[in-house]
Amino acid sequence: MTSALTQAQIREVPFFSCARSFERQWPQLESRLKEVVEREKYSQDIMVDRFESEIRAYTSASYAIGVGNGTDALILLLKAAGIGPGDEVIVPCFTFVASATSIVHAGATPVFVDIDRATYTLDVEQVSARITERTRAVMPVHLFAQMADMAALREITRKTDLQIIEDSAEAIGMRYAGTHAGLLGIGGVLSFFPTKTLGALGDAGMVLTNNPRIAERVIALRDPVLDNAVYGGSRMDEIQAAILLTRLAGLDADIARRAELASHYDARLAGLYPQVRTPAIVRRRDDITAVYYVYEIESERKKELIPYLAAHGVGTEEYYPLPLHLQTCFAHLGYRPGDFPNAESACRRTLALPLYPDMTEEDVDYVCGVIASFYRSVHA
Amino acid sequence: MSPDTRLLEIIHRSGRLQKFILGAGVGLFEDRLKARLGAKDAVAVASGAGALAIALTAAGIGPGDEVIVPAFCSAMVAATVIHAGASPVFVDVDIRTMVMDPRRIEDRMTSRTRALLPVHLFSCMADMPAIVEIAQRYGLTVIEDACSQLGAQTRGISAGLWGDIGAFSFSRGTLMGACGEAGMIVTRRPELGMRCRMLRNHGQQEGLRFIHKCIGVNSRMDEIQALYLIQKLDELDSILAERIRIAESYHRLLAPVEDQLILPPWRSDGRCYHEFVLQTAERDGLRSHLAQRGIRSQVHYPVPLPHQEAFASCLQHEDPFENAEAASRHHLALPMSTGMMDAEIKTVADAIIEYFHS
Ligand SMILES: Cc1ncc(COP(=O)(O)O)c(C=O)c1O
Repeated sequence: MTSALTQAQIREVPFFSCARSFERQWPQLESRLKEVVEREKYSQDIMVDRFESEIRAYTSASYAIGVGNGTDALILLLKAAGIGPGDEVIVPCFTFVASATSIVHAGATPVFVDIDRATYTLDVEQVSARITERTRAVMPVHLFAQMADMAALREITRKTDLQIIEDSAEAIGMRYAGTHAGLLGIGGVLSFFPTKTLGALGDAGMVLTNNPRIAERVIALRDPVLDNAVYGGSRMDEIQAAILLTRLAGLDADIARRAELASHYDARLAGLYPQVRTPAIVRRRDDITAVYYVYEIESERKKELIPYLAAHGVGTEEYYPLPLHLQTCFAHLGYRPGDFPNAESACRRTLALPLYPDMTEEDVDYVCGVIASFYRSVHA
Repeated sequence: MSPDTRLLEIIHRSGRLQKFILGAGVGLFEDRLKARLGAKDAVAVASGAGALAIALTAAGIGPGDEVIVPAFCSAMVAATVIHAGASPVFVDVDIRTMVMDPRRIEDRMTSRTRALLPVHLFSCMADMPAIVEIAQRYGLTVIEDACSQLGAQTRGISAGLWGDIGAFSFSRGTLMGACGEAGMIVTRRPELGMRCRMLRNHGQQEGLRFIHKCIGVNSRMDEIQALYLIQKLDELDSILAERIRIAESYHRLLAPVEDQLILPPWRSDGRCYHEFVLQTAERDGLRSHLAQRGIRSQVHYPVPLPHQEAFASCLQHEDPFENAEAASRHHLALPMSTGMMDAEIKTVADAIIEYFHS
């Protein structure tokens, strides 16, 4: 396949960058960092306290507990919720691996369920069939741009007395009937991995909950001095908290900008339907707030499209190339290809395009132009 | 310029270049440390506890296994063994050095013993030649908790590299404290290094995103930490020399009351003065005497691990752990910081002498 563009026309659009806004935020950030350096306290100190309190205000959570990353947040939350050996937790098989490995680290067994093809979140209708006498909790994962069908899930868990533990790592800003993601069950998490909607310059994460008992346990678990029997603990760096505090002020503007860029993508890619499927936000009976953390498209030819985009300077990510039930790390659970057709078909088709506030409309036009030229070249 | 002033530059560069986690800076820091220590691999992780946990898993320690752990050290060590699914079996420590006593190990071995986990503490490496000899005789794995002992050597071999795999911490209190949480795993066995690289990043093989070979964790070093630590590594030799200077002064100045104290045995091999810790039966009295003179001393581990509630279920025998108990009751860490003036050291020593002479 030859390139339709000359070298001079190539434009670099990395999958993610916040370099421009970082420069803009630097003066404010610098003064916070100087405060950190002066105190010589570099982990879990006043910046983390302040950031936790700002996140409580932003999400209306009663408790926001900073930890080292989103994966640790999930592990601590599961342990705090009393999930342990012998327990089963139902989790979708199309998600980041940490949703399920955290269950293993808590000592329990993940039980996979397929996804809803439109939203990539767990198919609530299939949950009941997975419940056994060992099932203790369901972990919905709010992926890419929208939350799982929480009303339907709550109906099931209410009837069966199961806990809801949300993997809301990607879901800052997402709300369901006015309630922030992570607060519809017993608790949830946030990841501040650098490419997230609210990203640090390294790893950082948080547990959100309204439940005082859960909060108390998580606080003990993150600090090995408070709980001897727990390995390691997990702390957020002050530097990362300073960065996150600075960025949080612009979060709503960032979210609005992401939505603008996403609708620009929608318009530019509409003409390529059905070869390219753009993401759909599914309206539910309750009012929902979507956040375009990831702009996920589908293409039957993603294996060719990804290198084509790369050759034209456009970064992509494959969320996700292989569903969890077919990963080597879960081979011992005994699932087979064909068990979860929706997740398997999503893995064959999905890729994420660049989407971040520092992008311009011209960047989006360029990415869409490259995709259009890819399809012209394969049809020529 | 101090590293902390340069820290702002490092953060600014990291933001400008958009380099976040496990990037070129981390690779460079791993290479530098590997070269300095003579390791086959060095794997940067998010904390010292993370390093130890990953080292245990990489070494294949899991359910059903017993790991021999000193009765006197940080609770984190035994908790990490439990976290790996194995059981800690406690062994008493040496009365003077307060580290694992190799002469007690064989008594504690059962058919399930898989590994020895010596912890280098305060200023003393464990007796690695003896420990490695036992491990070889019985085919056991040796995992070294060298968290606080970067720079220590015995017979020219670095702490962390006598055994199969070792863990370092760069938490703020260590000799080479990072500007946040960070740790490192070192090993002489490349295949263990490879396993650690997968385990630290969700079981992914390097360069293969979202394909997970094994159940891993998220324990990765940030670029900011790596770039900061590269600069600190250049200062390590002077930090170590500085610590030896302070320790030497304490030894010299405390000579008049030497027979009322247990001081760490003075020699250079197998020593790394992270802390200067003495033992005395009158620890609590001495401590308040020092406090009255505005001198801050510290008690690190007031209760031996086998006597802590958290590990009650691990006890299989009624051993008294005499030395660990004595160490818990008697140890006291004296002030020690880079740049400490001779006069400050003398003030501390004089106060101690005054206590014992009155
Ligand atoms: C759905 C989901 N769960 C969990 C995580 C784990 O978060 P972290 O990378 O901060 O450990 C992430 C992000 O990577 C995620 O996207």
